[in-house]
Amino acid sequence: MKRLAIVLALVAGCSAPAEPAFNAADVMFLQMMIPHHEQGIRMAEIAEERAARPEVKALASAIRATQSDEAKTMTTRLTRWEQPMEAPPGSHDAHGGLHETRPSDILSLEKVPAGQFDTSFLNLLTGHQHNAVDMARTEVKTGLDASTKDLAKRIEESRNAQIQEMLRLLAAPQG
Amino acid sequence: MRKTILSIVTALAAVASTLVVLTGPAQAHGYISSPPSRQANCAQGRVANCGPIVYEPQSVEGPKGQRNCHGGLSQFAQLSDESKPWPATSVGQNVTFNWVLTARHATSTWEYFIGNTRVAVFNDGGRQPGATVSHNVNLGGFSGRQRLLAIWNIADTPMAFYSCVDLQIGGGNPNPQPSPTPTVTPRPPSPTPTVTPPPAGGTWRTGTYYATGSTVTYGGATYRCLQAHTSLAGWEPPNVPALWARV
Repeated sequence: MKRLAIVLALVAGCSAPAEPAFNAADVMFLQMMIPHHEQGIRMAEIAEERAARPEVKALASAIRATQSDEAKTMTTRLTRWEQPMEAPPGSHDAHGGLHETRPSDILSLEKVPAGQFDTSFLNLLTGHQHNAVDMARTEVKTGLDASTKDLAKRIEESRNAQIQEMLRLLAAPQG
Repeated sequence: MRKTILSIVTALAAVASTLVVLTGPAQAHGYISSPPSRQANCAQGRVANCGPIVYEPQSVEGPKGQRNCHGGLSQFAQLSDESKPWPATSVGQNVTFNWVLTARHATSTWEYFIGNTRVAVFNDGGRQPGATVSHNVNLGGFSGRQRLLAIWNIADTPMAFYSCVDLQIGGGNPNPQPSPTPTVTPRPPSPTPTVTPPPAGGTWRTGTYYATGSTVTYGGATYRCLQAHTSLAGWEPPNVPALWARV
């Protein structure tokens, strides 16, 4: 007991301001968001090649660029925290994998007929970004690290704005 | 030693917050994106004062067998408010309805109603749908302004998802009141959760097309656009180094 007290005193005494203050929700958020970003980036890359409407292409390019930056930030953070890049297998199975965008979905985007591409892409990415918003909200509520929560807030905001833009593109007459 | 204790603390926190994550709020599921459903028009900001549906158009989930637009959920009651200026989409007799899905529940049927008439049903026989779903529906001779109700019936729960789509079938002015068309209307400010006022002295705005090389000010600094894009909330210049460089 006395030893523990000493150890705790040492911990308190040694705590440099730079010591990361994060919790498992932060780690889980980053571990789930990195592959989610990679899927979004892959969809956007396909749209940069295949989209018919210039505004869909431009949106896809900007999404690819901004999500690539975010993915780097998140990867760097997990590395700095000395945490694994991937969550233990099975830890995301609460919903039976219902919410994933699967590799086969992204593959189907490569094969959808040209005339249907923009609609398929916008619907697929809108669903994907709704799920990003859900994950970001969970992080804002349950995370600890301030900069990760800030990132989650920006993700929530920018994905909601992208969803609005994509719904507008879906509703607008095809040009 | 310090590191060990921190690891233990981190591990305990891991267990605790995993429980939080796994028992978190129910996730949402799907809605019709085009022609735009009422919740899509709300989420897009095209119809104002919709309430919380703007944040979760995919969440209109209620017991099966209902014939309303809000799934019987009081927080989404605005979706059934016929006094709201719902814009109608001009269509012919055959319409392709596109769904956004955020969870792929095993599905019994997709039903489409105009009034009490079921104009179409698609039986998935309990299968999981693909990542996106489209149905081509013949509107069965209905004409003029109609409210179509689409219902996604889940196979393994007592629940369904509800989406109402306002249509102007076979010509006529779909929106007799002066009503915005999506191509010319700037983003309406009031119902959108994402429009941020620019900081004092900044020229950057949301919903604006910026060409590569153009410059803006934001938070007292000047930024040069690195990649052409239409700006969005959350893409403020200091937050997206892929799009803006400080000069």
